[in-house]
Amino acid sequence: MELIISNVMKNYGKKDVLKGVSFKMDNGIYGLLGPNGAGKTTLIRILAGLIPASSGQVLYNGKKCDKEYRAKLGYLPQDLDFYPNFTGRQYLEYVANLKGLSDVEADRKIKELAEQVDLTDDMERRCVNYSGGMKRRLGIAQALLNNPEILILDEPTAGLDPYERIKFRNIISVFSKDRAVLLSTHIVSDVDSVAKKIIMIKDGKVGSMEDGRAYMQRMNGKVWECSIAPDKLMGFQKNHVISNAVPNGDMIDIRVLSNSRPHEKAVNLEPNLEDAYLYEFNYKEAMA
Amino acid sequence: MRLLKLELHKTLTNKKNLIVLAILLVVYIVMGFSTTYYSYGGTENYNTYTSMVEEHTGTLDEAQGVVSTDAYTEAKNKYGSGEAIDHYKMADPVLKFNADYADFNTAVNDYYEGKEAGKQDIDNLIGIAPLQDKLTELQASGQENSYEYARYEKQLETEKELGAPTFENVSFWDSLFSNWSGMNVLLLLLFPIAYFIAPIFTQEVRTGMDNIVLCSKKGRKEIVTSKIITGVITAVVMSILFVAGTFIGTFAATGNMAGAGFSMRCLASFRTAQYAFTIGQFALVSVLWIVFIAIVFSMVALLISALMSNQAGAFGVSFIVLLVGMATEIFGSGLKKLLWPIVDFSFNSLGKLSSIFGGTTTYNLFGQPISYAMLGVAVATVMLSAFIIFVYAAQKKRIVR
Ligand SMILES: Nc1ncnc2c1ncn2[C@@H]1O[C@H](COP(=O)(O)OP(=O)(O)OP(=O)(O)O)[C@@H](O)[C@H]1O
Ligand SMILES: [Mg+2]
Repeated sequence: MELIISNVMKNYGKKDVLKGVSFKMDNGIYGLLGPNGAGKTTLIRILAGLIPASSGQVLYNGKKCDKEYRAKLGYLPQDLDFYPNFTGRQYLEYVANLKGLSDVEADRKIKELAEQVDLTDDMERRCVNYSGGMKRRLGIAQALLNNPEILILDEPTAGLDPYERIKFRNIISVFSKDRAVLLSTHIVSDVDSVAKKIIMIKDGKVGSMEDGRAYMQRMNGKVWECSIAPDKLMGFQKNHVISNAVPNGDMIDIRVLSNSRPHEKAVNLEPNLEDAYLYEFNYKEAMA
Repeated sequence: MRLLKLELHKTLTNKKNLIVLAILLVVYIVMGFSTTYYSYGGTENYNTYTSMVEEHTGTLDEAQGVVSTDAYTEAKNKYGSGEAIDHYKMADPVLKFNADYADFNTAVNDYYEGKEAGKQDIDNLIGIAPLQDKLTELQASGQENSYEYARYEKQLETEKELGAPTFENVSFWDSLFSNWSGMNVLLLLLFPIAYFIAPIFTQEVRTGMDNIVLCSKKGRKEIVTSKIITGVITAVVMSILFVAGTFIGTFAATGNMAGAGFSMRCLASFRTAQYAFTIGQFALVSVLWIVFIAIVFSMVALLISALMSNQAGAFGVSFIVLLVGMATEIFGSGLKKLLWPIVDFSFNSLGKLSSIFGGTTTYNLFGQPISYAMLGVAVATVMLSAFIIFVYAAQKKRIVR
């Protein structure tokens, strides 16, 4: 399995949303990290064949994306609502049918997935009445119905509580063994530990695709900690990117991203992916 | 099959829409009953009226024709024509009988002599004598091979074959067919169909399901097939409810359905019909026609749903499609001639049984006269096929918004 995205551009009128995106995917989880409006959903919709790219190509095993590709795709959109008259089961039956599963296969798969996403007892309820988290889980189940080779998830963890978030991550981890998963998010911890590669996207451009550790390594020497007086915090924030602030007695311990020592008493810390993310999106241009 | 079943569940077989269907059925029954019951002014008046009709059935009694015409003319002079006289007809079964017999008298005269000078539609002549004159005139000027000659020759033949209208007690069928008027078909059948069809595609946009549908294996073609079948089933179910509801209501008011075996020319609105159907046969043809037109319209509504992103908008545009036909009615005759395809084949016109099957209109198809009904079938079939092709194309090219 190989999905090649080469120089994909997309504009809406004069607005360039994607400015030449290229990367390759094979098996494993790929985290698509980027702030609001970066173009994540736009890119994902192009990958799912829902909107045409203005230029560039998406090739699946060397071929243009067609019905065969769609048959191997699972997709969870960012905003998903349900039909007012459907139960959870009817909804999954409907999607299973669209995905070309036979009724027998569908019934088996629905039972299995309902179990996995913990909705077995709610399958006969109308899904518009589900809680936000349940709706997300139903959405994930829907995406997995056809055992997709390529699974695309647009902010799948939005609205999930921490426990459900972890459960979701586990499902995806197991699932991604021999499949490709593209997971868009602006929540770093969603992809932090599980993603094989991280793709950072900003203003319609992606940086180099690397694993999280590489990003973190490049942050070595750029993450600092120091204590400052609370009344200095606002002023300090204007000129520095602060990734964390914790009150400590009369002072505040802050975690700062900076190419150079931000404060005479600042000491270096071990970077994490969130630091890299903030550095990438908030530091580079604004502070450099 | 499961896809179709679920698609139907979204559109028709869910609780909310089943309730709407039930309400519509009640409306049809009540309408069928009340228009019939009140147009005869209640059961007693109805019985008086029908017994008078029974006394005068058969070919025209000229003396009675004169009596009824005089009585009706006098009443019109006294009360005014139009709605005012209708009101008095309801209250007075004798007046209603006279009015109907006077109309019948006119129809028989028209059959032989055509309309009196000035009232004759020069593009659509009727009456044996005028037709014969016209043919002689065309012969004299050497136009025996013209379309006009062919058309009137055929019409004359049909007229002779069918014979002059007779007067029969067909009150049930007259009432039923007035319930199946063009306006009722438009507003009580096609309009609700637009309501059911509008969300078929727009709902996918609203819920964001388009995202999933369009990237699934069957989301570009097979789903369209099941949506089209859903639309067709909706149209058929609605038409059957409409026809059955009005039938039940009318029957409840008259208590009989006498007259099914008489010629369809005995029906007040079909006196110049060019078909040898009995009323019963014609009722069957009419039902098929209504179902057919409903299906064609459902595909227009479905195409609109496929092209629009919001349900209210799709419903509105479908409604405008219906209004366009109604608007043509107020066109002047010049504009009507110019825009005849729209005027003659709008849903407003296609829904009018009396003009499709009751008139003598023919069209010139490569020199051959072809009836309104035949051309109607052809045009509607072409429209139906085109809409279906467009719906497939729309989904194939669809992108999410
Ligand atoms: N149909 C459209 N027409 C015009 N502009 C659009 C359209 N869709 C997206 N955009 C613009 O493209 C940019 C990228 O949007 P996109 O939804 O891809 O961002 P995103 O990374 O998914 O953001 P978020 O994290 O908020 O979901 C935004 O500026 C948005 O306004
Ligand atoms: Mg998005």
